[in-house]
Amino acid sequence: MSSYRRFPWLFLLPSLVGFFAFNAGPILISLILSFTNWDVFNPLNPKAIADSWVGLGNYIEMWHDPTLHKSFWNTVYYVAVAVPLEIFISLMVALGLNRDFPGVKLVRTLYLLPTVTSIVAVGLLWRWVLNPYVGPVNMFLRWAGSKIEGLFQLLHLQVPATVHWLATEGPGWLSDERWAMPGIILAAVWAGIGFRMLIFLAGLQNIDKTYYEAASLDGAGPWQQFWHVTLPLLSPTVFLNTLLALIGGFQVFGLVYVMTGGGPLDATNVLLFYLYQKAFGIFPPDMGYASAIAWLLFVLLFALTAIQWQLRKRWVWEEA
Amino acid sequence: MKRWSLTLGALALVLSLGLGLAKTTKVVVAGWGGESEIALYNELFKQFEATHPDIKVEFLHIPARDYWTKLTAMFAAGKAPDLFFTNNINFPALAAKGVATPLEPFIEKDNYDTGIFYQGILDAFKFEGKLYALPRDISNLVVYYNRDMLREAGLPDPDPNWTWDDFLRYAKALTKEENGKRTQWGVSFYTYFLFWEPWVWSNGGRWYSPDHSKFLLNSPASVEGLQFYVDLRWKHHVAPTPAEAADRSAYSMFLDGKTGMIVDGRWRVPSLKSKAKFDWDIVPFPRGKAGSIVDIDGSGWAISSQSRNKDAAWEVLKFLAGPEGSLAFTKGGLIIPAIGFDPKNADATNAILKTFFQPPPPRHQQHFLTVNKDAVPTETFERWSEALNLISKALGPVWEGKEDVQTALDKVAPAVQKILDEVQAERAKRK
Amino acid sequence: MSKRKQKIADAVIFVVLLLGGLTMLVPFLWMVSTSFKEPGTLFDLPIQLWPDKLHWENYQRVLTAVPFGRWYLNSLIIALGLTFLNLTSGALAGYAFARFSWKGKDVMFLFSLITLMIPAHVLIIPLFIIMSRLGWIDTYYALILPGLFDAFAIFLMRQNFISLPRELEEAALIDGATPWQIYWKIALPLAAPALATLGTFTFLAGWNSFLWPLIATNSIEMRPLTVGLAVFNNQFTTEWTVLMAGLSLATIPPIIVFLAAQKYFIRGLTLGSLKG
Repeated sequence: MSSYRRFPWLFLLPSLVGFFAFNAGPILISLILSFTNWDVFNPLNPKAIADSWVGLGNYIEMWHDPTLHKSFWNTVYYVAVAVPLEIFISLMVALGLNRDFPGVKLVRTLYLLPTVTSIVAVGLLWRWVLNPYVGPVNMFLRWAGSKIEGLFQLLHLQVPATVHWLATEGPGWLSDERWAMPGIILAAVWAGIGFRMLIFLAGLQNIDKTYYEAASLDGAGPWQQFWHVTLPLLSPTVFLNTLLALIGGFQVFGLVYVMTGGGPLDATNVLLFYLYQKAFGIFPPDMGYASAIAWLLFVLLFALTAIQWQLRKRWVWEEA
Repeated sequence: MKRWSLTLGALALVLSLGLGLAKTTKVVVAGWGGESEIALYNELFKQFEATHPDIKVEFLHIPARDYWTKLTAMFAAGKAPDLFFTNNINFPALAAKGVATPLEPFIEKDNYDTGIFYQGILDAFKFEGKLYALPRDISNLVVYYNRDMLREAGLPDPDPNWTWDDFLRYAKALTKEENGKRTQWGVSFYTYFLFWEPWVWSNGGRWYSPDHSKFLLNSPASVEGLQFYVDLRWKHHVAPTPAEAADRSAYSMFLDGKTGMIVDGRWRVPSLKSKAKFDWDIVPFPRGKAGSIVDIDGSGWAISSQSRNKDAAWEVLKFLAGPEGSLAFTKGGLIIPAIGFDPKNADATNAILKTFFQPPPPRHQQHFLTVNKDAVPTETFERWSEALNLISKALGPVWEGKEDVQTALDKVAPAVQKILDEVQAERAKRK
Repeated sequence: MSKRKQKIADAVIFVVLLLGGLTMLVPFLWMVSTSFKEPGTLFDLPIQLWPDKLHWENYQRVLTAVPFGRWYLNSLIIALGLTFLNLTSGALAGYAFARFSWKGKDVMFLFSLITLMIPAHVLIIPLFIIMSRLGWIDTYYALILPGLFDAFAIFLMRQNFISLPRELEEAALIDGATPWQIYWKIALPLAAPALATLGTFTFLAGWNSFLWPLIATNSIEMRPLTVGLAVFNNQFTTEWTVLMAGLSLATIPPIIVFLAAQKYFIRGLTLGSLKG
């Protein structure tokens, strides 16, 4: 179908009004603030901005700020691991739950519970689950480790150091610099599945059943059906979900705030947490620097999004 | 004629009403607190309005944890409340930004006597020689101890003049072990600065030089004091390690009878009274080389510089911080009033003290007041919170037993010193 | 694959998903169980999943000591208002981006995504300043109207309309229907699952929002639940049992919304049946 070739005023009007009334202004102001060291207690007006103008000062400071660099790489680490995991697992869950069997509605609701549960409860619970000494995860790992160790001893083999470590100690989730981020990722992926799953589920509703019938008549098995029917037809949703997950991943905050507070030794200090610290965590706040971090984040995300936007024509169905 | 007079009468009524309304000034007071405190404020304001018909007071409640976020936004929009509640920790940063109004002109005009407040907390609300807030309450630290546990270990109640050595002896005697595993510890362990600074001060150390020009937390006296505290956990093992605490909070371990002592504040009393299943009491912080020095911090109200009704705000401030307000907040049971006994106001101040002394436990609650004699305010300054962030981060490995105090603090010293130098420069510029 | 094998595979998948789902239940249960514990109990580790005795006084307190009903109502008004605005404007704009083409469309779309890429934390004070100039602080306007534009909604709806089969719309076009009619009569009904999803998300986001309502309200009466309940989370002490009672009650509407939205997740939307 050829698209209508005109500007759809009527369709865009509400969004345009909303954008110009409540979004454009704050975005512009935050951009301006990133060039100032505005003292938040001064009423914001042109004079206050002129008086606190520092030009590129905040951006130059970012260039030299080791904590910012650390939080940048932490964020990249988080995104690189958490986003693919989240997308993959939630897609699998959505496929599994996109059918009609008794209780399916209830099971779907279960996956959405972390989004309605107090984040403090979720975060604290994960702290306990991952507690290196008494948490169930390490209890299990130690149990499994000792069994493997026993096996090695039974066979009169040298016990590998990792196995011994697993049997006696295990990962120092959240308290050890190396294991803190994996701990956060585990919790965040777990909590984020429901949200992504729901988007996938909505996308799956749009796939015409007749495609499957046709594929099935051609002798395609479930795997081929998934690969040649579901995935291509779902690709607009996969695109949406991946992009949203990337944007969300770069802005991970809540669980870091509750579980580690950015520690130990900044090992889980991510960009948004650092920004939050600057904007609300220290006193007096450094809103100029916080805004500069926000715009750095924006440039990163925009570049990533623009690349994906260009690439989408290659793999997203109906976009070509 | 009759109709005329009626109309005139009505007109006069409307006019006087209008004028009356125009004469009423509104004072907005921002503060935090639980729902009982909100009710308390509203009750107080009703009392105040009864005696000041020309002033209407409105309470702007802000949740405690997000207080500054909201208040900053209001200042940024030029809509700050007339009076705002603040603690002394954040206060220098505020004062330096010119957010509060100096109180001296009001004090002189009214010949107001600030002598009813503890000097320590008044000092904490002074910035570059001027007073900016009248205090409501003070907070300090004492040692809470589990009497049942002490008796079991054959220990008498500690003497109020006990020393660090005594403290360590008690902690050791209260620590129990079964099959090589600790099952009970002498003392709960906090890592927040409020709880370790007394160990620095009581050993003769300081965070900073009095003019905040030099970082002194890595000086010998400070390090020795702090190391003594860290050693309770890692050398003598009379405080639970992170592994042993396993995410249980310091307070819950004391409440559950896992630790025999805890250094904590007055705010624990209501909870301990209702929840503790053991006999307990309090005793002053043990004496180190320099004595028993805990913090005297607190909170109070300041008049915002954006207020358009400063005179009315001052009237409200006097009332809130004065004997009537203090009595009401003391009745609330959570605070130590900032007003001590004052011979010039014997009746009013006595009433506050009587209210403060509620039925025991703790039996020796006078210590909440006696420790104020030597207590000092936290050494806060304009960029305190930034420096604290750095120091807290540096001490992380120390609490984990992976680094000693000296090494950790030496590492962070240059960064903190840089902040101090910048603060000195800013101060010079202001003058 | 034989039918039998298929059945076994299905059963295995179901059990795995159920087990995964049950882990999601644990923090929720902990929250609810804490709300029944003795007042003053700490929300602390190790977890105790069930109280020794049911303490209803936490519920009694949260329902009587604070204007809980009013807060609940505010939350509902805000969440429903936001959902309504979001669904309306998001679906309209999403359709525009999916089916219309004009010069600069891609740039406009990427621009709208900017709003997702700048953290709200730095936008909140500027927005507060704008709202207070408009005199809307402490009113529902400030709490709801910002929902008029939402890039997430537009994006979700755009992707949804793109993946809808076009045949029906094309047929209607040939029959002389206007774009507006096609949107209302054909596209929108087909978008029901996406609208249900978006509705759930917006409702949840509105219901859980904290920072903006905190800043945008002054009076206790205008607060939503999230901000109101913070009164139990105080400087030195937190009344965990009461707080959790409030939060547990707060989970009811989102769960109802989600269960209702699921009506639209019936697999096998077939064009064939529509074509008749």
